[in-house]
Amino acid sequence: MKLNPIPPTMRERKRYIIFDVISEKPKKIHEVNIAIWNSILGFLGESEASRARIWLISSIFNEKKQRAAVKVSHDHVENVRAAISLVREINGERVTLAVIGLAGTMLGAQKKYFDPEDY
Amino acid sequence: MEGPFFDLDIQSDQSSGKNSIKELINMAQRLKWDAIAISDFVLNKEDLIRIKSEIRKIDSNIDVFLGAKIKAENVKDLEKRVKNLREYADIIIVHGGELEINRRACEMPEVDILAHPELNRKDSGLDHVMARLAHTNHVAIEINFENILSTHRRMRSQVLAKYNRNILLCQKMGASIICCSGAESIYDMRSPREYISFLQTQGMSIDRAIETISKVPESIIRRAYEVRSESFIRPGLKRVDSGESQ
Repeated sequence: MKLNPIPPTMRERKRYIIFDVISEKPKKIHEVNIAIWNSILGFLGESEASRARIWLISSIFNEKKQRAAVKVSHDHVENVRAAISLVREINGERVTLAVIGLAGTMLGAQKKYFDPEDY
Repeated sequence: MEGPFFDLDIQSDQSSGKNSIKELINMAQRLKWDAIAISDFVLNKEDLIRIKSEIRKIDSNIDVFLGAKIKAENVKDLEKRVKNLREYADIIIVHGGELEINRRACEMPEVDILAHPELNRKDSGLDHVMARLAHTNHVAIEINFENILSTHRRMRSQVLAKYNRNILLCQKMGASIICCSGAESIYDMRSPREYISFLQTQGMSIDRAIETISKVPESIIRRAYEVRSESFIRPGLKRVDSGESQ
């Protein structure tokens, strides 16, 4: 038995925060994921993080440009953006996660910020 | 979103920073800042002149101002160094933390920014009297992002609590709040939008958050140029040409 798909009007509104990982050495997606979650849990706490519905989209991570997207509930964009900006290091190396844009749909994010030729 | 955006507290390898002025400027361009100030810890005017010549060598699309960050040992030392450096620097930033220094910085109209008054203190380093003095003398109180970045968990929550208290005091007394990176390396720098988001999470309205990195620093720069212009005599008094109407 499968769950019925939720009607479009009842689905939660979401946004995609697109950011660049600026560091000396390129980082892997799972390293970025751990760093972001640590920062979000530290800054917002478990309760707020659960409401923010955060999900790092690993399928569109651009390893060459070090560009990633994180899905977030539309009313928690500012909180998550602030938490992302507080990431200071990954694996002991200094990094800056610079948010470059915000998209309403995955397709919009891919069209504007992710070039298919980079994969 | 209304700009231009300024980051007035960045240290280069000329003092405590880790990166060269060129690297800092390139990073600021990448993060879409409109203007930055290289505010190194300086002892005398020779240091400032040297940094200024370094800045002039670099060709950039953004405005780069010269700041002087003063870490004074006591009040007399502060007064002396502010007096010596005011003429040469666009921005005078006082390294806060000591209560006497915080108070004296708020009393001096020559000072532009009081940086991290809460540094290494149990309290927020600012009271309502100082906030009122800061308002009267146009001294902006800094929210230093580096202090938030470099702390974690309990320490960060304590730093945030002190910032919240200072924000409340400044809003009540009408003193200006300025948000700066306090960056010592390119990895301490963040884009203007990130600061706005961060300040919003601390309960500030979006308009006020934008002001802290646009209008407030802009007015500091404008005032510095006004004071150094030939027509300036003293606060509230300037020489006007016969054809010019005030």
